[in-house]
Amino acid sequence: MRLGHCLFVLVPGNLRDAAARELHDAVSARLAKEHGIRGLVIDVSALSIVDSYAARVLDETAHVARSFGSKTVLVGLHPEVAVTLVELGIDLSALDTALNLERALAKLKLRIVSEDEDGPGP
Amino acid sequence: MALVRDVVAETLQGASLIPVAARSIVTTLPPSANAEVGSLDVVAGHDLLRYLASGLRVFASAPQPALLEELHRRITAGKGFKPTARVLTVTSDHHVVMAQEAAQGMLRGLFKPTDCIRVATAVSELARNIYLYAQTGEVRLTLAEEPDWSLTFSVLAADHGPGIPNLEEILAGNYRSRTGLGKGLTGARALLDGLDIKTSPAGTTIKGFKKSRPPDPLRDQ
Repeated sequence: MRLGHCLFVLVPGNLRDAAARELHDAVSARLAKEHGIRGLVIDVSALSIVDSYAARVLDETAHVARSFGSKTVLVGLHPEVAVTLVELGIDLSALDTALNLERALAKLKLRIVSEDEDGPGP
Repeated sequence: MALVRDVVAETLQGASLIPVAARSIVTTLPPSANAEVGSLDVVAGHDLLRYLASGLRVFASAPQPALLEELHRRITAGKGFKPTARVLTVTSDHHVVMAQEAAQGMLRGLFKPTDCIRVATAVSELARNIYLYAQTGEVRLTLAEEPDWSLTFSVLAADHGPGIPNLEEILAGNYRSRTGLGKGLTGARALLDGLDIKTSPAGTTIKGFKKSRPPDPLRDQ
């Protein structure tokens, strides 16, 4: 879902590998096609488990976003999951994280602009 | 054979509880109390024990460890609860998710929440390795009770795939695979208490385990 300059992505729970890959492809396609997306917010609160594969897909998505000029913020990462990722030895430094959507938007320093939905961007 | 429900009622009557407290606990026992003595597995058994512990706290205003120990002994006929086991055939990414859920379902409430996620994540890595590199295999999850009531979770992941030719390189952490972050095995090793890997061109067998950490889930009330 797009709101102003932000693209919001809700990751479903029980994420299969193929579904993770599809999500990555769909987000990449929108970032490539649409102008003016400056922030990508990925809500992972439905994920009770993030293993190395899911982490890698998230990381890749953030890298794609970065190459299209968007910053990525993860929202709703469970503390247990965050601890596990660190112990797995996974570096998610390409991703910023925020406690909730409000803080994510503050991090992105973006305001939701309802107009300019499909505009040419800044 | 006696039913768990009857043994619990008998034990509580023999204890110094007010009768109405004992009756309240017995009448609201979960369905697993209708099983025969000695037939409950770890998951159902510890669920029942936690229920009894909280019941005793509410109605008798004390956790009563000695009474709980007697209940445990009589419910299991002195043999301890049977291990809970789940076997999953892994042939697709769907089974990876099923293995995650099976591990979580087994440990929920018995292990600390963070340990549940650690174990489920490690199981996920091992299941994924099977489907990525061997196409088919089996994951066996077991939860067993130790004599001191602590629990040991073990996972056995076995396949007849091509084996892992560069195991040492992977375990040294220098390897980055095409499909993952090269973190599957090292990650599983870090998340569990032990991981034993046997691999040959005829297949791979990986055994891992994790113990429930103190405070014991039953006494941690």
